[in-house]
Amino acid sequence: MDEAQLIVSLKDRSKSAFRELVAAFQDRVYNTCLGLLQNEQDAEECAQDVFIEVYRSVSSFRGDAKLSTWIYRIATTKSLELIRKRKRLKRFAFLKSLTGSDGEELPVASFEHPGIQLEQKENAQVLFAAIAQLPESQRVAFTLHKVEGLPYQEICEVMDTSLSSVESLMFRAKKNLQKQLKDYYEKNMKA
Amino acid sequence: MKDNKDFELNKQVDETLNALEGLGKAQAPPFFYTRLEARMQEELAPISGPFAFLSNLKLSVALLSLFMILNVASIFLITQDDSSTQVQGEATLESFTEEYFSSSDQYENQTY
Repeated sequence: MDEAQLIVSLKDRSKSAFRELVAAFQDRVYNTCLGLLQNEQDAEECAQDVFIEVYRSVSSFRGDAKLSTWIYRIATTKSLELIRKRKRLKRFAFLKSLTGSDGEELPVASFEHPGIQLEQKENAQVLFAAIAQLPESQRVAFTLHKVEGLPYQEICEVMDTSLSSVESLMFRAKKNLQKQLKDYYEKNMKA
Repeated sequence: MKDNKDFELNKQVDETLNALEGLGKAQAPPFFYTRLEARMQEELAPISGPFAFLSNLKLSVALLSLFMILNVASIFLITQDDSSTQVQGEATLESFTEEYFSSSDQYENQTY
């Protein structure tokens, strides 16, 4: 089934077309969510949210963008929503700890991406922790490029921005990461 | 000595920045579609039961508005009637007193 046929069938609420769509995109969606959320359970929940949203709103999909671009856009939006929700919970937990009603802190994640090469495991953990500190748009651009392997042109379409903006986001992301890593290693590197 | 340390530091930073080169893609967990399907059945199924109509947002808002209007109207009517109720209340109190605390000979003099 080609993309146009698939979209028509999805709009007709075809179950087999939806199954085909999920089979075609589940790994890409999951990998994107995992790269952004850095947590396997959150990534699965978010990937499910993405497909539910696709199912709900496919009738309003006009086909201006490629189906994959539209799905990546939903995946990044849903992931950012979950990141914001997690930050709100963290702030709430912090406030609760200040008031003394609950002293328990949220666990600090040390994320290991399943696709990482063994010899890069330690460095990748440090890098993912630094990526998590980036501003949202830089985080999305960097993750889509480095984790999901999207070219700049497709990132432009997903983020609905220009090529120069994506290049600028990537440049700033790398600069910020360099600074963060330098600070980290200055504190933690053995003499 | 310091140059050597800076060199090591920059080398480590560059190595870390390149740690995602050759990164493999993560795959969705097994039975992803089955779990998704179960969740969709739960979330997208039409709500049934006596309060199913509340899932309709427009209807819920209309009912809530009606409820609010009735409440406001009730408060308005109660405050309007307050003065007349006060007079009426006094009259009722008088008749109540008369009924229950009247002198006993009233009854004694009555002929049955």
